[in-house]
Amino acid sequence: MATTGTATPVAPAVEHDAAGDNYLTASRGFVSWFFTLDHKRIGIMYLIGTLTAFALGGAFAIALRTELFHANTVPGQSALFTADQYNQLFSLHGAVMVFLFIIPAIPAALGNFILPIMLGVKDVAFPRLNLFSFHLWVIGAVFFLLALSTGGLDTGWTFYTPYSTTASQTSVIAATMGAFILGFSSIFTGLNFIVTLHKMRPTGMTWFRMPLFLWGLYATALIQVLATPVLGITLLMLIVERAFHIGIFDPSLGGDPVLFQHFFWFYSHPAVYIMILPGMAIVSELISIHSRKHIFGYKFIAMSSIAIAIFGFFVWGHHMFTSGQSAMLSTIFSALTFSVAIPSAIKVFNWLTTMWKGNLQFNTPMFYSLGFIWLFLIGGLTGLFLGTLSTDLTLHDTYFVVAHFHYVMVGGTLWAFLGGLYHWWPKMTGKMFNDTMGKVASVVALIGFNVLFFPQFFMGSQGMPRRYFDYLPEWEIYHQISTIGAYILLTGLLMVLWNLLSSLGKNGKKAPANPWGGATLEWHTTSPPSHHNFEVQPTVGDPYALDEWTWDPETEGYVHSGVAPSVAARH
Amino acid sequence: MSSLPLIAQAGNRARNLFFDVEGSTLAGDIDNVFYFILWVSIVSFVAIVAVTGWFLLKYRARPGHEAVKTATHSTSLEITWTVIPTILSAAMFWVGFEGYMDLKQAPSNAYEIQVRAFQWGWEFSYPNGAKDTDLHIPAETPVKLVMTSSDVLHSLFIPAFRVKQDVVPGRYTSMWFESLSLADLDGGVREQARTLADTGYVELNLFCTEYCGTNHSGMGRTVYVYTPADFEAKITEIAKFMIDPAIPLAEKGARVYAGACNSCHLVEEDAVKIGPSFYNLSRSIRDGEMIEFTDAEDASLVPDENYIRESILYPGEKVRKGYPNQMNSFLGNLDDRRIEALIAYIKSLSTAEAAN
Amino acid sequence: MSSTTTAAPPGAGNADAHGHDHDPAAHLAHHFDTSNQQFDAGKMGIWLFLVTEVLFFSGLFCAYSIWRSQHPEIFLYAHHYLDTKWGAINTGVLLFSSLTAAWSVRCAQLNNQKGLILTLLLTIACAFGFLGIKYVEYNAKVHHGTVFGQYYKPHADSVVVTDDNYKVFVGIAGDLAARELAIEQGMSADTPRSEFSEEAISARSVEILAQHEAEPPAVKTFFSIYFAMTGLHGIHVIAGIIAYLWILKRALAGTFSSKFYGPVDFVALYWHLVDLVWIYLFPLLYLIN
Ligand code: HEA
Ligand code: HEA
Ligand code: CUA
Ligand SMILES: [Cu+2]
Repeated sequence: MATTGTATPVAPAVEHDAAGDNYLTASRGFVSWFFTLDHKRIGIMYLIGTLTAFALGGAFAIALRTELFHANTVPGQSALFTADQYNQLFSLHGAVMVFLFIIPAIPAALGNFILPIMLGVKDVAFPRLNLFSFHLWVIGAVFFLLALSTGGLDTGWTFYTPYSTTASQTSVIAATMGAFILGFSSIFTGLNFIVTLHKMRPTGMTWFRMPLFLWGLYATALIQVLATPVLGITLLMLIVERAFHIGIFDPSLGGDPVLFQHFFWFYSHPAVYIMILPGMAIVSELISIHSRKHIFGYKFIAMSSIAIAIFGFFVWGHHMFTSGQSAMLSTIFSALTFSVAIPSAIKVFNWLTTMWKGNLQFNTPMFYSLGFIWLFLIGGLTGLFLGTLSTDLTLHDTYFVVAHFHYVMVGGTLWAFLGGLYHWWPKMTGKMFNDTMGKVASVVALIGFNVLFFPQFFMGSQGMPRRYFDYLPEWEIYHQISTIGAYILLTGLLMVLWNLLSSLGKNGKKAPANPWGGATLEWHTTSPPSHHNFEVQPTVGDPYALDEWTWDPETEGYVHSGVAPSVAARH
Repeated sequence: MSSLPLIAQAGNRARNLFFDVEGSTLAGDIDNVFYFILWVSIVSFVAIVAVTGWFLLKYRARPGHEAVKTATHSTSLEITWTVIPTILSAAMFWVGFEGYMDLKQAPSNAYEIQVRAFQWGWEFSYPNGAKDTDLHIPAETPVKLVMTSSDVLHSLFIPAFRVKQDVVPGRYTSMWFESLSLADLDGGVREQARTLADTGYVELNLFCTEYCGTNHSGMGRTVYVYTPADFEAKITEIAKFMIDPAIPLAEKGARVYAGACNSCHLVEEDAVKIGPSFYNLSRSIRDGEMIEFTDAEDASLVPDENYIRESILYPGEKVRKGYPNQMNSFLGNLDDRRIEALIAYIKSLSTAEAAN
Repeated sequence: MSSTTTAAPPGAGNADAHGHDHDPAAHLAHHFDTSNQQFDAGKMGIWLFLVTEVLFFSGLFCAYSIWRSQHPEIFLYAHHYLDTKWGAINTGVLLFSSLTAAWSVRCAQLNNQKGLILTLLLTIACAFGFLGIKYVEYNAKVHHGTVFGQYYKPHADSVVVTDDNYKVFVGIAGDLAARELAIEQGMSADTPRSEFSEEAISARSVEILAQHEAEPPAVKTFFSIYFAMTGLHGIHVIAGIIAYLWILKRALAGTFSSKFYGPVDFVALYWHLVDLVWIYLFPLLYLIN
C-alpha cells in the first residue's frame, strides 16, 4: 500500500543499463542491496539469509544427534550436554528450521526472484512492502539470536502451554516475538504475491496459462494470508500471558491449556502445506522441463494445489488425538486428514505420466526431483499411519513422527528447494555449476538422509518417545546408525555448498540464457537478467511448449526456434 | 530383516522390529491396522519407484532418443488415480476409527487407579489407599487410569499396550487397557528386565510423551504386571509399608526417594544428575560442613532437618551454589510422614556406612 | 469507484507496449502499466490486509466466545464494572470519525484540497478523543484494582453487588455504603460519596458485601479479555493515527488529486475496520444481559 503512490527512485527506460549490465552489477554497495526495491536482489538476500538459518539449524541438529549417539545410562557421564542444553538444542533446531528457514525459503527466496520474471513484469505489485517483509525477516532473526543469547528456548517449536507460560525459565518472550514478526513477514510476502498474480499477469496469460510454479505459490500465499494472522494473535496471547499472567491458557488462573493447541495447530498444520506446496510446484516445473515433455494433467496439478490449501485448513486436530479433545472431534479430524492425501496422490501420478516417453535428462535438478518424489512418498505415506486414529495413539510423540516430518520437510521441501536452486542458479548468477559434482553430492545426501531417518521409524513404533535427552539402551543401535547418517548428510550438503560456491569463482562457466530449454518466460531473458528483467518484452505462450526450443551447441543453451519443429528438444 | 513379521502371527506376541511386545487385548487389532496401512504403503511405494526406475532406463536421454509427444491430459486416468486412493484411505480411516472406539470406551467394571503426574514423576493411587511411583496392575483385568497433573502437561504412554493419553492440569483425562496373561507378556520385553520365572511378575516400559521440561526423559517408570492374586498382595503391602512400625524409617524413606527424588538427585558420593548428591548432603549434616547458596538470605549454613524440609516444600528459598533454581515444590505432594522418612533416609546415607 | 474518477484508460495497451502515462500527477510507479492497474492492485492489497486483520482479531473473539459459553455468569456479573456511558460516547466518536474518513476520500476525488485537510484533521482529532476516553476508563480500572489476571484485586468500595445469581444488579458497594451512611446520619440519600471518609466507606462496603452473594469465581478472566481486546484495538487506533498523520503530511504537500487518491482511500478502509471492530466490542463487553 505504501508503495502505490510514491514515484520510485528507479528511473524508467531512458537511463537504461549499459550493455552487459545486469541486476547484480547495476549498482554497488551495501545500501544498494539492503534497501533495494528490486525483487531479484531481495530474493538473493532472502536466499543468503535462509541458507544461513539452515546452517544454524543444521548445526543444532548435528549437535543433538551427536549427543544421542550414546544412551547415557550412567547419568551425568558420557554426555556432551546437560538435559537442559539438549532441550534447548531441539527447540532451537525446530524453531529456526521452521520459522527462519523452511517457510520463507522457497516463496521468499526463489519465489521472489522468479515470480515477476515468469510473469514478464518488472517487479511485484508492492516493492516497498516486499523490502519491508525482508526487513521484518531480519528483525525476526535478530529476536531469535537475542533469545539464543539471553537464555535460549526450551519449549519445543510448538510452545505448548502452560509449560511455555509458567514453567520455562528461558527467553520464551524473545523467541515468540521473533516468530510473531516472522509471521508478518510471511503474510506480507503472501499478500504481495496474490495481488501480483491477480493484477499483473500480462495479456495472454490467463489463469490456466500460468506456469505451475506460480499456481503453487498462489496456493501457498492463500495459506500465508489466511492462517498466519491466527498464529500472530496466538503468540501475542502467549506473550501477554507469560508477561502479565492474564490467565488465558493457565489452568491455575482459570484458563484452558488445550485451547492453545487448537490455536497453534490451526496455523501450524496449514503451515506444513506452506512448506510443501512450493516444493511440489518446483517439482512440477522440473519434471516437465528435464523430461523434455509437456506437463501432464496441468489443470489437475494446478487445482490440486488449491485443494490442498483448502483442505489443509480443516485437519489441525490430527495433532491432538491424545490431547483430551473429544472423540467426536478426533474422528472428524481423522476423516478429513485423509482428504489431503488425495490431491497429493494426483500430483505424484501426473508427474510420473509426464516422464512417460520423455527424454529424461540426467542432471542435478532432475536428481533432486526424483529424490523428492521418492522421499516425499515415504513421508506422505507414513502420514497415513498418523492420520489413522488407533495407530496414532501409539505413534504420537515418538520418533515415528520425527521420521515422518523429516521425510516430508527435508526429503520433500529441502530436496525441492535444492532442485530449484540448481535449476535457477544459472539464471540467478549467470554461472553454470559442475553438474557431475552436483549429482554426486545429491546422491551422498540422499544416502545420508535415509540412513539418518529411516531407522527412526522402527525406533518410534517400538516406543522411543521424541524430545528425549536420554533413552533406554535397547535403542542405542538405531540412534547410532541415525547419527552416522547425519554426518553423511552433512558431508553431502557441504559438497552442495562447495559445488555452488565454486561456480561463482573465475573458473565458473558462463551460463547461457536458457540452459535447460524451459519455455516459461524467465528463460527468455539474459542470465542474469537486467535490472528491469527484460530488454524485449516476451510474448506469452504455453509455458510447457518445450519443443519450441532447440539445442544450440555453440552457446550450449537452447534457443527459441519459433513454433515446434518435430526435431526439437535434442541434447 | 529376514523375519520381517508384517502380519502378526497368532501366538507370537514377542517384540519385533516394529513393536514392543503385544501386551493388551487391543494391541493385536491396532497392530493389524498398522500392518494394513504398511502393506498399502509398501505396494504403492514399490510400484511408484519401479515405474520411475523403468522410465529412467527406457527414456533416459541418449544419442538418438527423443521425447515423444503424447496426450497432455486424460480425464479417465485422473479419475482412476483419484478414486483408488480415496477408497484405500477411506478403508484406513474406518479400521482406525473402529479400533479407536474400543480404546476410548472403558468397560464399566474396570479397576480404577488414580494418576497424578508432576515434574518429574508419577503418583499412582489405589482404591485401598496405597500410593506408589511405579504402576502395578493385575493381568487379564480391565484397568482404567484417571489422570491429572499438578503442573504442566504430561502424557502417559505404555508401548506394550499401545495406549497414550495426555495428562492435563486442571482437568481429568482417562484411558484403559487390559493386560494379557503373564505368559503372553513374557518374552524379552525389556533388555534388562528380570524374567518372569525369577520374579513372578512382568516389567513393562512406561514413558512420559509430552514434553515437560528438564527431566522429561527421566519420567520413564516401570509397569509391574502381576497375577490378580499377587496384585492384591502387592498393593496391600504398599499400603501398609508406610505405616508399619516394624519397618525402619530410613527404609521407608528409601522408597519415597525412589519415587520422588531420584529423577534428579543421586545417592552416590559426588554424583550429580540435576540437583546435588544426597550422599554429600548427608555427609555435610554428619560432619557439620557448611553448604553455600546463591539467591538466599544467608550465603551458607550447616544443613539440618529443617533445611531439608524447607528445600522439599520451598525449594526456591535456598538455592545451592552451582545449581539451577529448578526444583518444584513438593508441597501437597509429600505428606509429613513421608518427609520425615526421607530425612531419616538422607541422614542414614553417610551414617549407615559403618553399620553396613 | 476507480472507473468514475481515474483518468487513465482501462487496460492500456498490449504487453509489449509498456505504455506509461507520463502524467506526474498520477504518481505511477515504474512497474505498473497504468494508473488503473496501480489503483486496483492497491485496493486489492488493502482488502487482503483487512482480511488478515479480521482473522487476527477473530482469535480473540473465538477465545471470548469459548469463555462466555463456559462461564456466562462471569460476564453477566462483571460487565457492570464497565461504564456504558463512556463506551457509548466512544462508539459515537468512532462512528463520526468513520464518516469524516469517508468524506476525506470524496474530497480527494473532487480535488477539494481544503475539505480534504479538514476531514483528515477531524478524523485524527476523533481518534485522539477516543484514546483520551479510553485512558479515563483504564485509569479508573487501575484505580479500583479491577485489572487483568493475577493483578485483579478490587477494592471493597468498587465491587459490584448483585443478587439472585448475578441477575439483579444492586449497585456498586461504595455507592451503596455512602447512601446508607447518609440516611443513617439524616442526610439526603444522594449526598455525594466524597462527604464521607474513605475508611468509613470501605468499612461499610465490606459489611454490605457480606450481606449479598459473593462474586463468581475467576472474574479476573473477564478483565483479562477486556484488556486484551480493547488494548489490541487501542493499538490499532494508534496505528491509524500514525497512518493518518502520514496522509495529512502528503495532503498538505498537495500530493492527492482526482488522479491520485489511492492512499487516502486505503487508509480510510483501514479506519472503517478499526471502527467496525469496536462496534463489535462494545456490545460484547459493555452490553451483556
Ligand atoms: C512439509 C510438511 C508436511 C507435510 C506435507 C505433511 C503431510 C501429511 N502429514 Fe504431517 N507433519 C508435519 C509436516 C508435514 N506433514 C510435521 C512438521 C509434523 C509434526 C509436528 C510436531 O508435532 O512437531 C507432522 C505431524 C503429522 C501428524 C500428527 C502426528 C502426531 O503428532 O501424532 C499427522 C496425523 O495425522 C500427520 C499427517 C500427515 C498427512 C496425512 C499428510 C499428507 O498430506 C500426506 C499426503 C501424501 C501422500 C499420502 C503420498 C502420495 C500419495 C500416493 C502416492 C498415493 C497413495 C495414497 C493412498 C493409498 C492414500 N502429520
Ligand atoms: C525444515 C525443517 C527441518 C530440517 C531441515 C531438519 C533437519 C534435521 N533434523 Fe530436525 N526437526 C525439525 C525440523 C527440521 N529438521 C523440527 C520442526 C523438529 C521438532 C522440534 C521439536 O520437537 O520441537 C525437529 C526435530 C529433530 C529431531 C528430534 C529431536 C528430539 O525429538 O529429541 C532430530 C533428531 O534426530 C532432528 C534431526 C535433524 C537432522 C540431523 C537434520 C539434518 O537434515 C540437518 C542437516 C543440515 C545441516 C547439517 C546443515 C548443513 C548446511 C550447510 C553446511 C550449509 C548448507 C548450504 C547449502 C546446502 C547451499 N530433528
Ligand atoms: Cu512429563 Cu514429559
Ligand atoms: Cu498436520
